[in-house]
Amino acid sequence: MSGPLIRTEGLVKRFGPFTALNGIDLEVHAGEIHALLGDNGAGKSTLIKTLSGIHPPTEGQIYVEGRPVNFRSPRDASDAGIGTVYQDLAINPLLSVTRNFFMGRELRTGPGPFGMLKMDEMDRITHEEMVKIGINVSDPGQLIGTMSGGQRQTLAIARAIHFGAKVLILDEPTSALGQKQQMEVLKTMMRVKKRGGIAIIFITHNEIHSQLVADRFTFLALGEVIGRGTKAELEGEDIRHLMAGGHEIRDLELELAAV
Amino acid sequence: MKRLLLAASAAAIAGMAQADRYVMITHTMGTDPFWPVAETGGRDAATQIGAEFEHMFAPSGDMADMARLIESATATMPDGLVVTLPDAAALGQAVASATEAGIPVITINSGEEASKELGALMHIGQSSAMAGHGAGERLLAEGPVGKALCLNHEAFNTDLVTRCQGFFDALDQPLNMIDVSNDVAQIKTRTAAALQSDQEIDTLLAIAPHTCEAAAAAVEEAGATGAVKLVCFDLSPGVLDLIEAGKVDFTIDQQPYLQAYLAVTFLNLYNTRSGMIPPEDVPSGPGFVDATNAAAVREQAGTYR
Amino acid sequence: MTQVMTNMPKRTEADRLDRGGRLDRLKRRPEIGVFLVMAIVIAAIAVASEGNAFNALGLKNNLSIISQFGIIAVGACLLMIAGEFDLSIGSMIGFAGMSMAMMLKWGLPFGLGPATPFTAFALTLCMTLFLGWLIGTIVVRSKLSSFIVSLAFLFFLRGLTEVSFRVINKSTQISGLPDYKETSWFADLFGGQAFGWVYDIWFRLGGNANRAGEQWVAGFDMRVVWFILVAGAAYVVLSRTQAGNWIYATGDSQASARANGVPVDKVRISLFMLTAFCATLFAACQVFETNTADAAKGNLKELEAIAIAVVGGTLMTGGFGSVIGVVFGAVTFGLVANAVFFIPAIDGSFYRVFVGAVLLIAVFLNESMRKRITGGL
Repeated sequence: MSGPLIRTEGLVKRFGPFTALNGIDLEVHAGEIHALLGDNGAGKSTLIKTLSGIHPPTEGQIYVEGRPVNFRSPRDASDAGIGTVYQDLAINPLLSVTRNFFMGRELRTGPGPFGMLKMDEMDRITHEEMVKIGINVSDPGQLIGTMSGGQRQTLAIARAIHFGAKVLILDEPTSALGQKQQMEVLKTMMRVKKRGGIAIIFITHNEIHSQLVADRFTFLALGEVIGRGTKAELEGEDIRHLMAGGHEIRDLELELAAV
Repeated sequence: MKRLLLAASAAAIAGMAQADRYVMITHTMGTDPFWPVAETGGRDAATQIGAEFEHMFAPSGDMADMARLIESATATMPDGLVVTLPDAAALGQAVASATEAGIPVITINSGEEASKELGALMHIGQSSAMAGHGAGERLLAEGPVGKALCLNHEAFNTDLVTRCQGFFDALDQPLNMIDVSNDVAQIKTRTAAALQSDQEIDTLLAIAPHTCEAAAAAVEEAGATGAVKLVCFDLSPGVLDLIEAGKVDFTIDQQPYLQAYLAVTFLNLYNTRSGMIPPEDVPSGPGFVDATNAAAVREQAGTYR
Repeated sequence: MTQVMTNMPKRTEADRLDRGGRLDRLKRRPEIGVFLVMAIVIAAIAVASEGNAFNALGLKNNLSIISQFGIIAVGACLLMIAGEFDLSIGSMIGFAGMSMAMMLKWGLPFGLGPATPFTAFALTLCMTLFLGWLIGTIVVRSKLSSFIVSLAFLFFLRGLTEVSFRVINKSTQISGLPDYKETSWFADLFGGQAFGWVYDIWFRLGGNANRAGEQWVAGFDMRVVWFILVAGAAYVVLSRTQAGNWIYATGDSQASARANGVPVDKVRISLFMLTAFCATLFAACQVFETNTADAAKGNLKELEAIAIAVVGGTLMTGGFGSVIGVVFGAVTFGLVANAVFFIPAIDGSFYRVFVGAVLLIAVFLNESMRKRITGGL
């Protein structure tokens, strides 16, 4: 087995006196879904933002395919093959599927921004990529606004992959969706995983979703890793225990009863 | 008598310290070509008598703002105020307080009716009704007039409507006026449209120079040159060209230069010649500019005329 | 359990949007609302004016006003699609007109000698493009609303125009300039006439004759050509080029566009320069046609440009709109503003009433169309 696609070593991020991340070690392998779990404020979003080049780390090092990298902008990260799909998806609802898919990276003939768009080719690629990931868009000219939340999520994922993401960071992809659409997104993740070669970092609150798709888990609390392991290594009880930030569920139950 | 004394003493004090200072406040919003000519008149008069001259106006065109301007000018105690009175109800209070403070005031251009009552010394201007009437009379003297149309670029300006009304009164016709807007392209197209939709129209009255120039183009475009007579208000080099080319019959000149020039001169005489002042209002117009004097006027158009 | 499963519809999410036939797709175009309004307006005016509004001269004049509105509305539309407003268009027209006429009358600045129409236009365009760049840069850098920044320039430029006129020209109007379009092909490009052959043919066919029976109208105003050029270029850029995609993306969601690498700031600054260019074109057509300029030129034109863009289906909040819609909007607005004067029975002062009514009706219609297209966004 080859080394991890992305690895962090003792990642520390401080905002003034506040330590958001306190020495995070993380390894994510190709063809794996790596669930990143933790309560609000555990440091999940700071970790993602550090990995995707928005915040430079205060200490520690990120390695992509074994090479140390220093991201100064989100562009650097995406050039290195890290594609981040945020909760708001960076999608424009009034634009068509194709125009969203190629936004900022349009195919054109002719010079500069006034080059003609290769609309047919872009439509074709969009359609193909969407089919590959499991959605048959009947009309690539349809507006994103008319698509379901799950489909939008899928489009953002397909776009990141098409433009060379090897590490896909999905920030709470299921949280704002209905039951059926959540399943759609999970299915999309499984399809991406099956293609191999791509590592997925799956940030979620939802232990059930993580158990359904993830191969490996990392739990964060107060900016530190409080537990990790493969699916086989962790029992359901452990997961819930770790999700609760290391507290015993029974303690919490007692606390609630005392109110 | 008391007021005269006050004014005289104020002038004396000011005279000791420095040259006389005259302030003109007008209702222009600063964009029309009319007021710079008046300003030149006031400035020239001041230069000749060795006085200082200021022209102030409220760019908003709001009468309340103009009243504030008059009040603040009063507070600086000038040796004389020259004001226009487009709305006596809104400006009356401010003008009255200036005259009560002993500052000699002459109203120009508009506000003839209220001038005396507010304590102003006199009024210099052209009555809009009289000027419109004058234009109509002159046309009738030249020959019979069929159906006329007045082109108004500010249909909500009552004074401009009065010009049209006076004109139609002289012709003994009901008021026939359209709003041509202030955009030269639209003035032209709307005038041409009106000429097309009513072929009986044989006389046009344009009450501003830019309207006049655009209307002349419209007449030509509608193929009505010779069939439609055009008379105008006020002057511009373009209007003079049209008069010389025979495309405009005549234009009414209210001689704005004269309004401010005379006002400053009269104020100075009043201050320095122990209250010397003409007993009656002085009309500054209507003066007519036609083919006979257009060339002479041209030399000075835009600055003095 | 299995029975329930077999009853599941064999449809996928993507099938819920029906693409429909050709007619259906036409009905779903964003311009359909304003197209209907335009058709009704044209028909109503043709009937009420007994055809006068569309005879030889009527057609020329109406197209002239439509083009004049259209030139600035296209610029305003593109900028609005990118999510910004430019309230300085009207003052920019005044400034550009003043600048050109003043150079023609008093010579180029800095003692560069007398101006030709070309040098006056070129130098003015440099200044207005710089002003457009400045407005855009202030908006982008300060992150203030473009509404406020361009409002400041509305006052600033109008004041500057006025003061320059007073200081240099001693009068706020310039008229009686020589007729440059007679002597300069460049001036003729803006103030002259075009498509004379249409009217020549019309005359040969027995129409287009004046009261004396001679050929009446010689051609359309050049601004019709400029309108076609500006609208055509804007249409291609907006719907067919990468820049067009960037404009839509910027207006729809700036954050998303930026996250995807769209140069959002450059797009916005360029579009402020585009509206400045359109205003200059507007002014050049008027200055060289009438050989006059005055300090009030272009007053309120910024609001008319925005109104037309909205009538044409452009969304006030950005991200949605089309050039074709704006062309229809300009036709509608131009006709309504002008055509009342072809109807003797209606007092001309009513035109503002009609303009207001049409504006409201078109906006309501556009709104419901847009909801249908976008699924209620």
